[in-house]
Amino acid sequence: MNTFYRLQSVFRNVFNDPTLRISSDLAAGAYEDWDSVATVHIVLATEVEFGVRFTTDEVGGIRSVADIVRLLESYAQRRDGGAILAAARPTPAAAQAYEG
Amino acid sequence: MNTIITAMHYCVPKGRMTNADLAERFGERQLKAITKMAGIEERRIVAPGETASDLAYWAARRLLDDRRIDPQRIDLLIFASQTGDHQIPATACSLHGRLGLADTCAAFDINLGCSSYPYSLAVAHGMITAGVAHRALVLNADALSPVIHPLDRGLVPLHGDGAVATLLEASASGGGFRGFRLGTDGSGAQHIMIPASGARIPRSEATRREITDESGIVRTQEHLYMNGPAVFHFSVYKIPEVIRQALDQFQLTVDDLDLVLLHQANKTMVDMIYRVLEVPESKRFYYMESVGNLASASTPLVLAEAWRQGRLHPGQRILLASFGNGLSWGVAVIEWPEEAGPPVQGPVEPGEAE
Repeated sequence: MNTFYRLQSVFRNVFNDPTLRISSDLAAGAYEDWDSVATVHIVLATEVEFGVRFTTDEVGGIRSVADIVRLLESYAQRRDGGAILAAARPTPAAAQAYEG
Repeated sequence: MNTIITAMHYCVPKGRMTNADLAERFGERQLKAITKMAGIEERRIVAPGETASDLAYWAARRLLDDRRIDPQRIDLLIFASQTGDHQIPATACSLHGRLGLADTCAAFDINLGCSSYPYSLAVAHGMITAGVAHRALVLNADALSPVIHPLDRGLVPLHGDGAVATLLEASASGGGFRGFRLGTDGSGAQHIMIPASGARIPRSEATRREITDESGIVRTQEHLYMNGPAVFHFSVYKIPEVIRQALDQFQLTVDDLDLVLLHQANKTMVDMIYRVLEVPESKRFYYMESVGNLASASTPLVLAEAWRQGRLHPGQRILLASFGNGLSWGVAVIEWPEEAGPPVQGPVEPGEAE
Protein backbone atom coordinates (compact mmCIF):
# COMPACT_ATOMS: atom_id res chain seq x y z
CA MET A 1 0.00 0.00 0.00
CA ASN A 2 1.53 3.32 -0.89
CA THR A 3 2.08 6.24 1.42
CA PHE A 4 -0.95 8.12 0.26
CA TYR A 5 -3.42 5.30 0.83
CA ARG A 6 -1.95 4.51 4.26
CA LEU A 7 -2.27 8.17 5.14
CA GLN A 8 -5.85 8.18 3.92
CA SER A 9 -6.53 5.34 6.32
CA VAL A 10 -5.05 7.45 9.13
CA PHE A 11 -7.31 10.37 8.23
CA ARG A 12 -10.39 8.15 8.01
CA ASN A 13 -9.70 6.81 11.50
CA VAL A 14 -8.96 10.24 12.98
CA PHE A 15 -12.08 11.84 11.51
CA ASN A 16 -14.16 8.69 11.93
CA ASP A 17 -15.24 8.93 8.30
CA PRO A 18 -14.70 5.71 6.28
CA THR A 19 -15.56 7.48 3.04
CA LEU A 20 -13.12 10.37 3.43
CA ARG A 21 -10.91 10.79 0.38
CA ILE A 22 -7.81 12.89 0.92
CA SER A 23 -5.87 14.84 -1.65
CA SER A 24 -2.53 16.62 -1.46
CA ASP A 25 -4.16 19.98 -1.16
CA LEU A 26 -6.45 18.98 1.72
CA ALA A 27 -5.49 21.44 4.45
CA ALA A 28 -6.40 22.55 7.95
CA GLY A 29 -9.20 25.06 7.61
CA ALA A 30 -10.38 23.78 4.24
CA TYR A 31 -11.76 20.70 5.99
CA GLU A 32 -14.03 21.90 8.77
CA ASP A 33 -13.04 19.28 11.35
CA TRP A 34 -9.31 19.76 10.86
CA ASP A 35 -8.36 22.02 13.76
CA SER A 36 -5.23 22.02 15.93
CA VAL A 37 -6.53 19.11 18.03
CA ALA A 38 -7.10 17.10 14.86
CA THR A 39 -3.53 17.86 13.79
CA VAL A 40 -2.29 16.31 17.04
CA HIS A 41 -4.42 13.19 16.36
CA ILE A 42 -3.15 13.00 12.76
CA VAL A 43 0.49 13.40 13.74
CA LEU A 44 0.43 10.74 16.45
CA ALA A 45 -1.57 8.29 14.33
CA THR A 46 0.78 8.87 11.40
CA GLU A 47 3.78 8.19 13.63
CA VAL A 48 2.25 4.89 14.71
CA GLU A 49 1.29 3.90 11.16
CA PHE A 50 4.67 4.71 9.61
CA GLY A 51 6.96 4.09 12.58
CA VAL A 52 8.50 7.54 12.47
CA ARG A 53 9.00 10.28 15.03
CA PHE A 54 8.65 13.80 13.72
CA THR A 55 10.53 16.70 15.27
CA THR A 56 8.75 19.52 17.10
CA ASP A 57 9.48 21.93 14.25
CA GLU A 58 8.21 19.49 11.66
CA VAL A 59 4.96 19.07 13.55
CA GLY A 60 4.72 22.85 13.91
CA GLY A 61 4.87 23.22 10.13
CA ILE A 62 2.12 20.74 9.21
CA ARG A 63 -0.78 22.49 7.50
CA SER A 64 -1.84 20.04 4.79
CA VAL A 65 -1.73 16.46 3.52
CA ALA A 66 1.07 17.53 1.18
CA ASP A 67 3.15 18.62 4.18
CA ILE A 68 2.80 15.19 5.78
CA VAL A 69 3.56 13.31 2.58
CA ARG A 70 6.65 15.45 2.07
CA LEU A 71 7.86 14.64 5.59
CA LEU A 72 7.21 10.93 5.20
CA GLU A 73 9.09 10.86 1.91
CA SER A 74 12.04 12.65 3.45
CA TYR A 75 12.10 10.07 6.28
CA ALA A 76 11.91 7.26 3.75
CA GLN A 77 14.90 8.62 1.87
CA ARG A 78 16.84 8.81 5.09
CA ARG A 79 16.06 5.19 5.96
CA ASP A 80 17.00 2.55 3.41
CA GLY A 81 15.45 4.01 0.37
CA GLY A 82 11.83 3.71 1.36
CA ALA A 83 11.71 0.54 3.46
CA ILE A 84 9.87 2.52 6.08
CA LEU A 85 6.94 2.97 3.80
CA ALA A 86 6.55 -0.73 3.17
CA ALA A 87 6.97 -2.38 6.53
CA ALA A 88 5.63 -2.09 10.04
CA ARG A 89 8.12 -0.41 12.39
CA PRO A 90 8.35 -0.13 16.16
CA THR A 91 6.08 2.74 17.09
CA PRO A 92 7.29 5.71 19.12
CA ALA A 93 6.42 5.29 22.80
CA ALA A 94 4.47 8.51 23.13
CA ALA A 95 2.41 7.81 20.04
CA GLN A 96 1.67 4.32 21.35
CA ALA A 97 0.37 5.86 24.55
CA TYR A 98 -2.09 7.97 22.63
CA GLU A 99 -5.67 6.80 22.88
CA GLY A 100 -7.32 9.58 20.94
CA MET B 1 21.04 21.50 55.69
CA ASN B 2 18.06 21.18 53.38
CA THR B 3 15.10 23.34 52.43
CA ILE B 4 11.51 22.36 53.10
CA ILE B 5 8.09 23.63 52.09
CA THR B 6 6.30 24.64 55.28
CA ALA B 7 3.18 26.36 53.95
CA MET B 8 1.24 26.99 50.75
CA HIS B 9 -1.85 28.98 49.82
CA TYR B 10 -3.46 29.89 46.56
CA CYS B 11 -5.76 32.47 45.08
CA VAL B 12 -8.06 32.23 42.08
CA PRO B 13 -10.08 35.17 40.77
CA LYS B 14 -13.82 35.42 41.25
CA GLY B 15 -14.66 35.41 37.55
CA ARG B 16 -15.75 32.10 36.04
CA MET B 17 -15.90 30.99 32.43
CA THR B 18 -17.72 27.71 31.89
CA ASN B 19 -17.89 25.49 28.83
CA ALA B 20 -21.45 26.72 28.34
CA ASP B 21 -20.10 30.30 28.16
CA LEU B 22 -17.56 29.17 25.58
CA ALA B 23 -20.19 27.37 23.52
CA GLU B 24 -22.11 30.64 23.28
CA ARG B 25 -19.00 32.41 22.04
CA PHE B 26 -17.60 29.81 19.65
CA GLY B 27 -20.43 27.35 18.95
CA GLU B 28 -20.69 23.76 20.22
CA ARG B 29 -19.16 22.20 17.14
CA GLN B 30 -16.03 24.34 17.22
CA LEU B 31 -15.40 23.53 20.86
CA LYS B 32 -16.12 19.84 20.94
CA ALA B 33 -12.63 18.60 20.13
CA ILE B 34 -10.70 20.97 22.36
CA THR B 35 -12.91 20.64 25.42
CA LYS B 36 -12.80 16.85 25.11
CA MET B 37 -9.01 16.95 24.87
CA ALA B 38 -8.55 19.49 27.67
CA GLY B 39 -10.73 17.95 30.37
CA ILE B 40 -11.50 21.44 31.65
CA GLU B 41 -15.05 22.45 32.59
CA GLU B 42 -14.51 25.89 34.08
CA ARG B 43 -11.79 28.54 34.16
CA ARG B 44 -11.25 31.26 36.77
CA ILE B 45 -10.69 34.60 35.04
CA VAL B 46 -9.43 37.96 36.34
CA ALA B 47 -11.66 41.02 36.26
CA PRO B 48 -10.64 43.99 34.08
CA GLY B 49 -7.67 45.68 35.76
CA GLU B 50 -6.95 42.74 38.04
CA THR B 51 -3.45 41.27 37.57
CA ALA B 52 -1.41 38.20 38.40
CA SER B 53 0.34 40.17 41.13
CA ASP B 54 -3.01 40.97 42.75
CA LEU B 55 -3.73 37.24 42.98
CA ALA B 56 -0.22 36.60 44.28
CA TYR B 57 -0.67 39.31 46.89
CA TRP B 58 -3.83 37.68 48.27
CA ALA B 59 -2.27 34.21 48.29
CA ALA B 60 0.75 35.58 50.16
CA ARG B 61 -1.36 37.59 52.61
CA ARG B 62 -3.45 34.54 53.42
CA LEU B 63 -0.34 32.44 53.95
CA LEU B 64 1.31 35.01 56.22
CA ASP B 65 -1.90 35.63 58.19
CA ASP B 66 -2.79 31.95 58.64
CA ARG B 67 0.68 30.99 59.80
CA ARG B 68 1.05 34.20 61.83
CA ILE B 69 4.34 34.96 60.15
CA ASP B 70 5.74 38.44 60.62
CA PRO B 71 6.37 39.78 57.08
CA GLN B 72 9.61 41.28 58.41
CA ARG B 73 10.97 37.75 58.82
CA ILE B 74 10.79 36.96 55.08
CA ASP B 75 14.21 37.57 53.54
CA LEU B 76 13.63 36.35 49.96
CA LEU B 77 10.69 37.06 47.67
CA ILE B 78 10.52 35.48 44.21
CA PHE B 79 7.71 36.30 41.79
CA ALA B 80 7.65 33.80 38.92
CA SER B 81 5.36 34.85 36.10
CA GLN B 82 5.15 36.01 32.50
CA THR B 83 2.34 38.42 33.14
CA GLY B 84 3.99 40.94 35.44
CA ASP B 85 2.60 44.39 36.09
CA HIS B 86 5.23 46.37 34.18
CA GLN B 87 8.33 45.80 32.10
CA ILE B 88 10.13 47.95 34.69
CA PRO B 89 10.35 47.40 37.68
CA ALA B 90 10.28 43.76 38.66
CA THR B 91 6.82 42.90 39.95
CA ALA B 92 8.47 41.26 42.97
CA CYS B 93 9.57 44.74 44.07
CA SER B 94 5.99 46.08 43.94
CA LEU B 95 4.77 43.02 45.86
CA HIS B 96 7.54 43.53 48.40
CA GLY B 97 6.12 46.98 49.11
CA ARG B 98 2.48 45.84 49.19
CA LEU B 99 3.28 42.99 51.57
CA GLY B 100 5.30 45.22 53.90
CA LEU B 101 8.48 43.13 53.74
CA ALA B 102 11.76 44.26 55.29
CA ASP B 103 14.40 46.19 53.37
CA THR B 104 16.74 43.27 54.05
CA CYS B 105 14.54 41.05 51.88
CA ALA B 106 15.79 40.30 48.36
CA ALA B 107 13.05 40.48 45.73
CA PHE B 108 13.23 39.58 42.05
CA ASP B 109 11.23 38.05 39.21
CA ILE B 110 11.74 34.82 37.33
CA ASN B 111 10.42 35.23 33.81
CA LEU B 112 9.19 31.74 33.00
CA GLY B 113 5.72 30.38 32.41
CA CYS B 114 4.46 26.84 32.90
CA SER B 115 7.94 25.51 33.78
CA SER B 116 8.60 28.10 36.49
CA TYR B 117 7.88 26.16 39.68
CA PRO B 118 10.92 23.85 39.73
CA TYR B 119 13.08 26.82 38.71
CA SER B 120 11.80 29.06 41.48
CA LEU B 121 12.12 26.25 44.04
CA ALA B 122 15.67 25.52 42.87
CA VAL B 123 16.69 29.18 43.13
CA ALA B 124 15.15 29.58 46.59
CA HIS B 125 16.67 26.28 47.75
CA GLY B 126 20.08 27.32 46.42
CA MET B 127 19.96 30.68 48.17
CA ILE B 128 18.80 29.16 51.45
CA THR B 129 21.39 26.38 51.48
CA ALA B 130 24.08 28.96 50.56
CA GLY B 131 23.07 31.00 53.61
CA VAL B 132 21.95 33.98 51.52
CA ALA B 133 18.36 33.66 52.78
CA HIS B 134 16.57 31.82 55.55
CA ARG B 135 12.87 32.09 54.77
CA ALA B 136 11.67 32.46 51.17
CA LEU B 137 8.26 33.37 49.86
CA VAL B 138 7.87 32.05 46.31
CA LEU B 139 4.91 33.42 44.36
CA ASN B 140 3.97 31.68 41.10
CA ALA B 141 1.24 33.55 39.30
CA ASP B 142 -0.13 34.22 35.84
CA ALA B 143 -3.15 35.95 34.41
CA LEU B 144 -3.09 34.90 30.78
CA SER B 145 -6.73 35.64 30.01
CA PRO B 146 -6.07 39.34 29.23
CA VAL B 147 -3.32 38.43 26.74
CA ILE B 148 -5.34 35.77 24.90
CA HIS B 149 -7.52 37.07 22.08
CA PRO B 150 -11.16 36.49 23.11
CA LEU B 151 -11.80 34.77 19.74
CA ASP B 152 -8.82 32.41 19.99
CA ARG B 153 -10.76 29.17 20.24
CA GLY B 154 -7.53 27.23 20.67
CA LEU B 155 -6.31 29.01 23.81
CA VAL B 156 -9.38 30.52 25.51
CA PRO B 157 -10.73 27.06 26.47
CA LEU B 158 -7.43 26.00 28.02
CA HIS B 159 -6.32 28.77 30.32
CA GLY B 160 -7.39 30.19 33.64
CA ASP B 161 -5.72 32.68 35.98
CA GLY B 162 -4.32 32.06 39.45
CA ALA B 163 -1.51 32.40 41.95
CA VAL B 164 0.15 30.17 44.51
CA ALA B 165 2.32 31.20 47.47
CA THR B 166 4.89 28.73 48.81
CA LEU B 167 6.91 29.27 51.98
CA LEU B 168 10.34 27.65 52.07
CA GLU B 169 12.53 27.42 55.13
CA ALA B 170 15.86 25.90 56.09
CA SER B 171 15.70 22.62 57.94
CA ALA B 172 18.36 20.50 59.58
CA SER B 173 16.14 17.44 59.88
CA GLY B 174 15.12 14.96 57.19
CA GLY B 175 13.04 15.65 54.14
CA GLY B 176 13.13 18.43 51.64
CA PHE B 177 14.45 18.59 48.13
CA ARG B 178 16.16 15.48 46.79
CA GLY B 179 17.21 17.36 43.66
CA PHE B 180 16.31 19.22 40.50
CA ARG B 181 16.80 18.67 36.79
CA LEU B 182 16.22 21.73 34.62
CA GLY B 183 16.50 22.17 30.86
CA THR B 184 15.73 24.24 27.80
CA ASP B 185 15.36 23.84 24.04
CA GLY B 186 15.52 27.42 22.84
CA SER B 187 15.24 26.33 19.21
CA GLY B 188 11.52 26.02 19.92
CA ALA B 189 11.07 29.45 21.49
CA GLN B 190 8.83 30.60 18.64
CA HIS B 191 6.19 27.96 19.36
CA ILE B 192 4.70 29.85 22.34
CA MET B 193 5.09 33.61 22.44
CA ILE B 194 3.52 37.02 22.39
CA PRO B 195 5.34 38.42 19.35
CA ALA B 196 4.80 42.14 20.03
CA SER B 197 5.45 42.27 23.76
CA GLY B 198 8.93 43.69 24.11
CA ALA B 199 11.80 45.32 22.29
CA ARG B 200 12.00 42.95 19.31
CA ILE B 201 8.65 43.92 17.79
CA PRO B 202 7.47 47.25 19.21
CA ARG B 203 3.71 47.64 19.48
CA SER B 204 2.12 49.59 16.67
CA GLU B 205 -1.04 49.89 14.61
CA ALA B 206 0.20 46.90 12.58
CA THR B 207 0.65 44.68 15.63
CA ARG B 208 -2.94 45.39 16.68
CA ARG B 209 -4.33 44.09 13.38
CA GLU B 210 -6.37 40.90 13.72
CA ILE B 211 -5.22 37.80 11.86
CA THR B 212 -7.30 34.65 11.29
CA ASP B 213 -5.16 31.57 10.75
CA GLU B 214 -5.95 28.52 8.61
CA SER B 215 -7.86 26.82 11.41
CA GLY B 216 -10.00 29.86 12.16
CA ILE B 217 -8.14 31.10 15.24
CA VAL B 218 -8.17 34.88 15.63
CA ARG B 219 -5.39 36.86 17.29
CA THR B 220 -3.12 39.88 16.89
CA GLN B 221 0.63 40.03 17.39
CA GLU B 222 -0.05 41.46 20.83
CA HIS B 223 -1.81 38.29 21.94
CA LEU B 224 -0.45 34.95 23.05
CA TYR B 225 0.34 32.58 20.20
CA MET B 226 0.82 28.85 20.64
CA ASN B 227 1.50 26.26 17.99
CA GLY B 228 -0.61 23.66 19.75
CA PRO B 229 0.42 20.55 17.80
CA ALA B 230 4.15 21.37 18.10
CA VAL B 231 3.89 22.00 21.84
CA PHE B 232 1.78 18.89 22.43
CA HIS B 233 4.27 16.77 20.49
CA PHE B 234 7.25 18.26 22.36
CA SER B 235 5.59 17.63 25.71
CA VAL B 236 4.59 14.02 25.21
CA TYR B 237 8.04 13.03 23.94
CA LYS B 238 10.42 15.26 25.86
CA ILE B 239 8.88 15.29 29.32
CA PRO B 240 8.83 11.50 29.87
CA GLU B 241 12.45 11.45 28.67
CA VAL B 242 13.45 14.21 31.10
CA ILE B 243 11.62 12.57 34.00
CA ARG B 244 13.45 9.30 33.29
CA GLN B 245 16.76 11.20 33.24
CA ALA B 246 15.90 12.82 36.57
CA LEU B 247 14.98 9.46 38.11
CA ASP B 248 18.30 8.01 36.90
CA GLN B 249 20.14 11.03 38.30
CA PHE B 250 18.54 10.56 41.72
CA GLN B 251 18.82 6.75 41.53
CA LEU B 252 15.07 6.31 41.75
CA THR B 253 12.36 4.55 39.77
CA VAL B 254 8.64 5.25 39.49
CA ASP B 255 8.19 2.51 42.11
CA ASP B 256 10.10 4.68 44.59
CA LEU B 257 7.70 7.61 44.14
CA ASP B 258 4.47 8.11 46.03
CA LEU B 259 3.03 10.80 43.79
CA VAL B 260 3.87 12.16 40.32
CA LEU B 261 2.53 15.66 39.77
CA LEU B 262 2.63 17.18 36.29
CA HIS B 263 1.97 20.64 34.90
CA GLN B 264 -1.78 20.64 34.29
CA ALA B 265 -1.61 21.60 30.62
CA ASN B 266 -4.57 19.50 29.56
CA LYS B 267 -5.94 16.12 30.59
CA THR B 268 -5.01 14.26 27.41
CA MET B 269 -1.39 15.38 27.54
CA VAL B 270 -1.04 14.61 31.25
CA ASP B 271 -2.55 11.16 30.76
CA MET B 272 -0.22 10.39 27.86
CA ILE B 273 2.84 11.29 29.93
CA TYR B 274 1.58 9.12 32.78
CA ARG B 275 1.02 6.21 30.38
CA VAL B 276 4.45 6.52 28.75
CA LEU B 277 6.06 6.45 32.22
CA GLU B 278 3.73 3.68 33.39
CA VAL B 279 2.71 5.67 36.45
CA PRO B 280 -0.01 3.71 38.26
CA GLU B 281 -3.37 5.36 38.85
CA SER B 282 -2.68 5.50 42.60
CA LYS B 283 0.27 7.86 42.00
CA ARG B 284 -1.55 10.22 39.65
CA PHE B 285 -3.28 13.43 40.63
CA TYR B 286 -5.12 16.05 38.58
CA TYR B 287 -6.40 19.52 39.29
CA MET B 288 -7.46 21.46 36.21
CA GLU B 289 -11.13 20.66 35.62
CA SER B 290 -12.45 23.59 37.68
CA VAL B 291 -9.66 26.14 37.13
CA GLY B 292 -7.97 25.51 33.76
CA ASN B 293 -4.29 25.57 32.91
CA LEU B 294 -2.82 28.23 35.21
CA ALA B 295 0.60 28.49 33.50
CA SER B 296 3.15 29.49 36.17
CA ALA B 297 0.70 28.64 38.97
CA SER B 298 -0.29 25.27 37.51
CA THR B 299 2.26 22.91 39.11
CA PRO B 300 2.28 24.56 42.55
CA LEU B 301 -1.51 24.51 42.52
CA VAL B 302 -1.63 20.77 41.88
CA LEU B 303 0.86 20.30 44.76
CA ALA B 304 -1.22 22.54 47.05
CA GLU B 305 -4.41 20.68 46.16
CA ALA B 306 -2.77 17.30 46.73
CA TRP B 307 -1.76 18.60 50.16
CA ARG B 308 -5.25 20.00 50.85
CA GLN B 309 -6.88 16.73 49.82
CA GLY B 310 -4.71 14.70 52.20
CA ARG B 311 -2.51 13.09 49.56
CA LEU B 312 0.80 14.30 51.06
CA HIS B 313 2.27 12.67 54.15
CA PRO B 314 5.67 13.00 55.83
CA GLY B 315 8.27 10.73 54.32
CA GLN B 316 6.52 10.47 50.96
CA ARG B 317 8.54 11.07 47.82
CA ILE B 318 6.90 13.38 45.28
CA LEU B 319 8.05 14.15 41.76
CA LEU B 320 7.00 17.45 40.18
CA ALA B 321 7.46 18.09 36.46
CA SER B 322 6.71 21.38 34.74
CA PHE B 323 7.12 22.31 31.10
CA GLY B 324 6.12 25.01 28.70
CA ASN B 325 7.25 27.96 26.69
CA GLY B 326 10.92 28.45 26.10
CA LEU B 327 10.74 25.57 25.40
CA SER B 328 11.62 24.96 29.01
CA TRP B 329 11.19 22.24 31.60
CA GLY B 330 12.07 21.34 35.16
CA VAL B 331 11.75 18.35 37.46
CA ALA B 332 11.96 18.42 41.25
CA VAL B 333 11.89 15.52 43.68
CA ILE B 334 10.69 16.33 47.18
CA GLU B 335 10.68 14.19 50.29
CA TRP B 336 7.71 15.54 52.19
CA PRO B 337 8.99 16.77 55.55
CA GLU B 338 7.76 16.07 59.07
CA GLU B 339 7.83 19.81 59.78
CA ALA B 340 5.42 20.77 57.02
CA GLY B 341 2.59 22.65 58.66
CA PRO B 342 -1.09 21.76 58.52
CA PRO B 343 -2.56 21.20 55.05
CA VAL B 344 -3.48 24.05 52.77
CA GLN B 345 -6.97 25.44 53.29
CA GLY B 346 -9.27 26.06 50.33
CA PRO B 347 -8.56 28.75 47.79
CA VAL B 348 -8.77 32.41 48.69
CA GLU B 349 -10.42 34.89 46.35
CA PRO B 350 -9.12 38.46 46.03
CA GLY B 351 -10.12 40.50 49.07
CA GLU B 352 -10.90 37.51 51.31
CA ALA B 353 -7.80 37.73 53.42
CA GLU B 354 -8.48 41.18 54.83
